[in-house]
Amino acid sequence: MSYYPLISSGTIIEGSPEENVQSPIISIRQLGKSFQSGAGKNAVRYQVLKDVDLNINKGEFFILLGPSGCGKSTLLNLIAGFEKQTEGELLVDGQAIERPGKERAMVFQHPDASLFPWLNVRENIEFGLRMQGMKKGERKAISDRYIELAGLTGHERKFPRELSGGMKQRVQIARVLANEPDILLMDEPLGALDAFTRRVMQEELVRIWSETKKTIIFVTHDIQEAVLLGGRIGIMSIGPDSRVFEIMDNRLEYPRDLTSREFNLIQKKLQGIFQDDLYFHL
Amino acid sequence: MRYVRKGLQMGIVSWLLFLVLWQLFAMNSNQDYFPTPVQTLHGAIELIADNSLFTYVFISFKRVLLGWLLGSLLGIPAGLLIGRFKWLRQLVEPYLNFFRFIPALAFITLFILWFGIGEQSKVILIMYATLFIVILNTAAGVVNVEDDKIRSARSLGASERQILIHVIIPAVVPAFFNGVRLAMGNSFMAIVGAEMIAANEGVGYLIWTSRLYSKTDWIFVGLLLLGLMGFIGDQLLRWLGKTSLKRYGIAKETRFGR
Repeated sequence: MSYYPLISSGTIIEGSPEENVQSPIISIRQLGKSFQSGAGKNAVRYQVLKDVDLNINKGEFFILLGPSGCGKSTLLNLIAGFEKQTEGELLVDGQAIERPGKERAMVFQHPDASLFPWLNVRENIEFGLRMQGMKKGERKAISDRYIELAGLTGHERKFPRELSGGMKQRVQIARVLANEPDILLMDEPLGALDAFTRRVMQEELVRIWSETKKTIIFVTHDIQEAVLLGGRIGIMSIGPDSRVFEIMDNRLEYPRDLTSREFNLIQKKLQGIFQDDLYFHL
Repeated sequence: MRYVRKGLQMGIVSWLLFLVLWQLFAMNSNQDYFPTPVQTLHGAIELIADNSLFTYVFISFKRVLLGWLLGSLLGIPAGLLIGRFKWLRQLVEPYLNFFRFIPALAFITLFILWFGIGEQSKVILIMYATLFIVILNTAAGVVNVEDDKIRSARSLGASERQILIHVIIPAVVPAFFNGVRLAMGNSFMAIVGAEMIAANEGVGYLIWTSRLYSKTDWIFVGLLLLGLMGFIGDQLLRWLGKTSLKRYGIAKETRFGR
């Protein structure tokens, strides 16, 4: 059902062959989510997501790309278990999602809202382990590993307010990794950073992903970021009734070169989709 | 010039200026009604000599501290519950919004009838003056805890009970602390009223009875004592907040007044 012949040709291949062989870690069928605002006669239903179909494979770096308000974050919240779908099926490892779980960890856009300011870096990172009743010594061994992995060595005793935006996001990432999740859900985690820090963090993220082999679902509205990070890029239609209408394979080697011809070709094709009038009438 | 700036910073300049203006004003007034700083100091020495000054201060302070502590201890859990459960909030919000407009002073006569003329009625009055502010501030603090914090904790594997203890309570500490500080101010207002109407000891009593002997200098002593007690109480609380509650983000938001 591609409107865009460009995407299914050339360097970009729609639907990877492995997808059918491997059983997906996340499987989404005919998923819908609507919100009701107001009450009684004034009640208005807003259908954010409708008929979302998507499989996500173990260990892949998957990007959800679309403009603001298209329901990317809502889809992520459904996978996290913060909200419940109104229609369809959402399975993780074959199980329906009932509630948030530590196997599906969320990295939020705003670290100030999600980190615990009364805990220092190490204590923030050890939070999940402490909640599970792990002893101090064991916790330290694990947090040491992720402090190093996230590049936070030397900052263990600082409080979030003493850190820059990029460092805070490192803490958030280390905090969820310490909990050994299967899936990392990232809701525009680099969106609030300045361009330089953002570039560094993008590289860091690719490094962390290739070292930990976690499944990552990364939400962004930045096309360049999508091409830089994603193994597959799910393009969402504009809301209401948003869905993933196209999945693009991106098999460029990591680390990716922003200035290479291939990179720009993919980026241009993606830009083409969002600039096309057809996009607004999907 | 440097000493002046230093003095300004520490408030010394303000107080010297205050004393000078006071002296000038008193010299140009009838000193039976408006004593000079020196006369006030003599009054204070009289009161120290007959042992009443420290006794009164101690008694007023004890009443405030007891009522304020009890009110705060009751207000924290109440505020936490009200902030946490929407139905409870909707149930009690009308009461809170009604009763907070009835000042504690208005209840004095009733409390004396109910709880007697002794200490009990005064402590309960302070409790009343404290309770609503602490409840409202704590509950508002709970409501304002960011969703992302609770969601983070939940997806890190925390139970609902752990979320209350390890996320909501620490996040509410600054709001609660603010409430407790405001309540301290209210408590001083309430205790003076109570002691004026129904007490034979305390700073409020001192101010009220000095009128009978036309001892305006004692009245001045009483007023200064009230200011001093409130100031010291507040500084003590701030120091406590800065040292023991620093990690909860108290130090930075309690600069001017509240």
